[in-house]
Amino acid sequence: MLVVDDSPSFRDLAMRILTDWGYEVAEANSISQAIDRAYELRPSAVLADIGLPDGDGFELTKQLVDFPWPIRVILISSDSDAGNSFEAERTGAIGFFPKDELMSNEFRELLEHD
Amino acid sequence: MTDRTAKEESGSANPGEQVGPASQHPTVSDELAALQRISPMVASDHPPREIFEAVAREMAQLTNADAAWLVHFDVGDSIMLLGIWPPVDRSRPIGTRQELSDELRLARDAAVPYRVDTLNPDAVGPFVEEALRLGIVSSLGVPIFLHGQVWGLGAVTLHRQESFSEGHEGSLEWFLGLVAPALGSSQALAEMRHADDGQLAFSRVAELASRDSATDELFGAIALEASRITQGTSVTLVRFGEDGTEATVLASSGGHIEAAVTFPVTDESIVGRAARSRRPVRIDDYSVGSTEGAAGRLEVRAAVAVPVTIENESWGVLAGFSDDAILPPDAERWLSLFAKIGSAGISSWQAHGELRAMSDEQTALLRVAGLVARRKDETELFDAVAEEASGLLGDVATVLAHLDGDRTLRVVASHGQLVPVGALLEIPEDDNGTAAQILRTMRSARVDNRDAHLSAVKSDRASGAGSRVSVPVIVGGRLWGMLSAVDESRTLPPWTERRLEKFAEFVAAAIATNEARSSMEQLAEEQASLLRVAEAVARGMPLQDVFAMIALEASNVLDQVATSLMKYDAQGVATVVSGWRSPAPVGLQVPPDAHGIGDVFRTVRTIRVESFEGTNLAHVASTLGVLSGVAVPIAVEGRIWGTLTASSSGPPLAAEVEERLERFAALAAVAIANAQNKEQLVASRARVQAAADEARRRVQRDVHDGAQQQLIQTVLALKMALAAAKRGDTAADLMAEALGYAARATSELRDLVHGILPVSLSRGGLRAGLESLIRNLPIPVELDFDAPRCPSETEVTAYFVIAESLTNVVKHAGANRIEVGVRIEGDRLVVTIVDDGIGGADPDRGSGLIGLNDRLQALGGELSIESPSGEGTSVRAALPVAVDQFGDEGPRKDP
Repeated sequence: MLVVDDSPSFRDLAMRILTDWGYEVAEANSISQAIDRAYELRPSAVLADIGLPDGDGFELTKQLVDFPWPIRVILISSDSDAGNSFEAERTGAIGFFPKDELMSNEFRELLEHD
Repeated sequence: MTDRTAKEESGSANPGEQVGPASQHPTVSDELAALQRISPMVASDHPPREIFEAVAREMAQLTNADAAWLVHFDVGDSIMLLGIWPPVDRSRPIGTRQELSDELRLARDAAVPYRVDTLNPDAVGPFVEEALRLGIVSSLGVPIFLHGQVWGLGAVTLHRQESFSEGHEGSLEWFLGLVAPALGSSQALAEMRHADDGQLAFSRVAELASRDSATDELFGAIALEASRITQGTSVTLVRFGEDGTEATVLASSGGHIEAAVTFPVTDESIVGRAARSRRPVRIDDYSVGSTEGAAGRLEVRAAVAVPVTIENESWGVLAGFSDDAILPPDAERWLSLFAKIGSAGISSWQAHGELRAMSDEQTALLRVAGLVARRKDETELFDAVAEEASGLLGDVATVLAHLDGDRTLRVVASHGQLVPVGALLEIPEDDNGTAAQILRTMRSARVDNRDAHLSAVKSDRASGAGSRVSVPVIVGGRLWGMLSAVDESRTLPPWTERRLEKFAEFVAAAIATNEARSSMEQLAEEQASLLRVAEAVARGMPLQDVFAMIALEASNVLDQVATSLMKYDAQGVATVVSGWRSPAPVGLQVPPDAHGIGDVFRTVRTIRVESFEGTNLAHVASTLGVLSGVAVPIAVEGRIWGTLTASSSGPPLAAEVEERLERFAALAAVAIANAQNKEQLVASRARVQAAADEARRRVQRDVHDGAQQQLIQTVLALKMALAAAKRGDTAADLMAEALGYAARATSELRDLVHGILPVSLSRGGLRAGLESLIRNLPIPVELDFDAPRCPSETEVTAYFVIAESLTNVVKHAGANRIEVGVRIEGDRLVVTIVDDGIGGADPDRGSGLIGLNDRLQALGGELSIESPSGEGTSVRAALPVAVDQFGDEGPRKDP
C-alpha cells in the first residue's frame, strides 16, 4: 500500500495502523512523488489525502486508475464533506473516508474485501 | 320737513345725516360721464352757446343744484354771461355784459371758491337783489382758470333750504378745470362771430379761424381781407420771437416784405411801440421823423400798427403800410378787429390742439396700458411704446433703448428706421449728446441743432432745425434705459419732454411689473428645472442621462440657447458628453489651449467669449455657426471636472446667463460627485466583501491545516491506544502521543482566535487590547491613552488601524520608537501612530491601509497619512462617536 499525505505526522500514524493490520506500506508527500512510487512499487492500493501541495487527491486518482495495472484508490480528508464521496466515486476511487475513521471496521473491510 | 329744519337749527354738520338731493355727492364716474358728454361737443365744434349751456347743465347735475351759471371776466370790470341752466331766462343771452358786482369781484381777485350757505336778505347790492329775485337760498362759486389767470366763474345755486358740501366744491373745481380750455376757445369763437355780424369781409377769415387747421391760410386771409377793407393798404402780420426782440413776418398782402423774414424789433419802431403800449399806433408821415430802420429801407410813408395779444401776452402786430398816402381814419378799428379775429382763431386752434393732444396722449397711454394688462411680452410692449410715442409727437423717429452695461445702449424698439432693433450704441465718455447727459443727470435731455448752430437762419424752418429729446426710463431707482425722439428737420416742441416722460414713467412701471413678474416666473421655472435634475440625481439616474438632462433643462431655462456639457481629461482636452440645441456633436474634442474652454480648465472660472474671431477656435466656431458663448466650470470636490457651456449664433447671451448656468453646473457637479462616490462605495463594498471572504478562507485553512489535523491525529492516536489497551498491550505511549496532538491543537486554536479578535480587546476594551498588542512588539511603543469606552465597532476599528499601522512600522519604517495616541476630540475618537522611521509611505499602496480606509469610511471616519521622506510617518484616524453615548456629562473617562 501507498499512503499519500503532506503531513508527516499523519503519514506516520496511518502507516502504523496499516502495518498493524499486516500491510506492507510505503509513503509519498505529493502527487508527483505518489506517481513515481506507484510505478516503482506497483501498490495494489493507494490511500491519498484530498488536499495535497501540488494538486488534489481527485487528480491523483484519475492518473492512478489510468495505470496499465489495476490500483485501488481510497481518498481521505480531515473533513467529512459528503461532496467528497461523490467526487471520489466519479474519479474512480473505491471509497472516501474522513481521516478520523481510519480505525473503523468499514474502512478495514473495504481494504480487505478483495 | 320739520325734522330737517330742526337738524339744521341744531347745527348738525354731519353731511351723512342730511336728506335731499344736495346731500348726494358726485362719484368719480359721475364726473367722468359729465366730461365725456362735453368732450365730443367741443371736438365737433358745436356752437359756443350750446357748449356753455351744456357745461352749465353738467355743473348743475354734478352738484344737484337748482341752477348753474357760467360767466367770463371780461376786460375791465365787466362780466359776460356765457351760459345758464336751466335756460329759463332767455332775456339774458350769451354775450350780455354787466357791471362786476362786489361779490364777484371778490371771487375774481381772491381766485378761490366761495360758498354762501344762506343768503342774507338784509344785504344790499345788485347781485343780492338779483339772487333774491331768482329765489336763491345758497350758492357755490368756483373760479375758472385759464393760462394761469382767473378767466371766469362757474356758480351753482339752490332755491331751497339746503347747502353745498365740500365734495360738491371739489367736484366742480375738477370739472371746470378740465373744461376750461374748451370754454376759452368757445368764448373766443363766440366773440369772433359776434364781431362778424353783417361783415362779409370777415366771413372767410372767421370760417378759417373756426377750423383748427391751416393757420398759415388764416394769417394770409387776415392780411388780404384787412388790406381790402383798408382800401388797398399793404397789411403785414408779424409774430414776435420768444424774447420779443425779433419778429417774423407770417403773412403780407403787399410786396413790401416777404413772409418768413425775421427782423429786429426796436422800442422806437412802430411794431415795438404797438406791442409795448398795447394800443394802435399811427405814423402818418415817416419823413417827419427818423427814416432809419425798416420803414426807411422799405420806403414806407405812413403806417398803422395794432397789437395782437393772445391770452394777455404780446403775440405779434398787424400793421398796414402805405408808401404814398396816409392810412384811412378807420384803419385802427379795422385792423384791431382783424387782430382780434386772428387771436381768437389762434386761441381756438391752440385750445383745440391741446384738447386733441390730451386725448391723443391718453388714448396712446391707454393702448400701452392695455398691452401691459394683457401681459403681452416685452418686445410687443416696447414696439407699441415706440410707435405710440412716435404717433403722439407727429410721426417723429423714436427709439427705446435699454442700458446694457455702463455705457452701452441696446435698442429694444425703434420706430422710424433711425436705428435697427438690437443695435448696440456705445456712449463715448466725452460725448455731450442726450444719452450722455442722461447718464450724468438721470434727467431728460435735449439737443437742438439750433443750439449747436446759433448762426443758422432762424426763419428757415426746414433745415438745420432738427432736435433730439431723450428721457430716462428709471426702474427701481436705477437707469433702465431711455426713450428718445428725433426729428431731423424741425425743432421738437417744448412739451416733447413732458410727453415722453409720461410715456417713460408708464413704460418704467410696466417694465418693473414685467420684470418682477418675469423674474419670478423665471425663478420658478428655473427652480422647477433644477428640482427635476436634482431628483434625477437623487434617484441615481445614470450619469450620461443626467448630463443629457442638464443640457436640456439649462437650454430650456436659458431661453433655448444652445448648451453643451464637456468633460476634461487630465491634460485639459475637453470632450462634448451631451448637448441640447447645440451644433457641437457629442464626442467633439476641443484642445487644452482652446480659447475660453481651455481658460475654464486652467482657471476654474466662468469665461465669456464675446467673439471667437481671431481666436484659435475661430474655425471651429464658424463651422458650427457659433458667434459667442459662456462656459462655466464644473468642479467636483475642488477639482475641475468639465464645463457647461451656452452658445449663441445670434445676439450676445443675456447678462445673467453666467449665474444661471453656474447653478446647473453645480448640480452637474453634485451628480458627478454622487456617481463617483457611488462607484467608490461599490468598490469599497467589494473590497470589504473580498476582505471578509479572504478572512473566512484564512480561518478555514488555518483550522483545517492546523487544529483540525492535530485533533484528528489525537482521535486516531487515542483509538490506537484504546485498541492496544483492549488487546492488553501498553497504551501509555499512544496516549502521551495523543496528548501531544491535543495540546498543539489547543495552542493553534488560541492563536487563531487571537488573530480574529484579541480577547483582551473584546473583554477589556481598546486600552487592554492595545497594551496586549504592544507588549510583544520588537520596537518600544509609548501609549498615550485618554479616552472612555466607546461602542465596540469603534474600538475594534481603532484597534485594527493601530495594529495595521504598527505592523507597517515594524516591517517597513526602520523606526526606533513609536508613539500611539488615543483621545477624544469633540465628538470623535482620534488615534495617532507616529514613528521616527524613514517616512515616504504611500497611502495608495498596500492593501492594508486601503482596507482600513474602507472600514473607517463605513463608520463615517477618515484616515490621513503624512509621511515625508526621512521624517517618519504619522497616521491619524478619526472616528465619529455619538455624544449621547457618553451620557450627559460628556465623554466618560476610563478609570
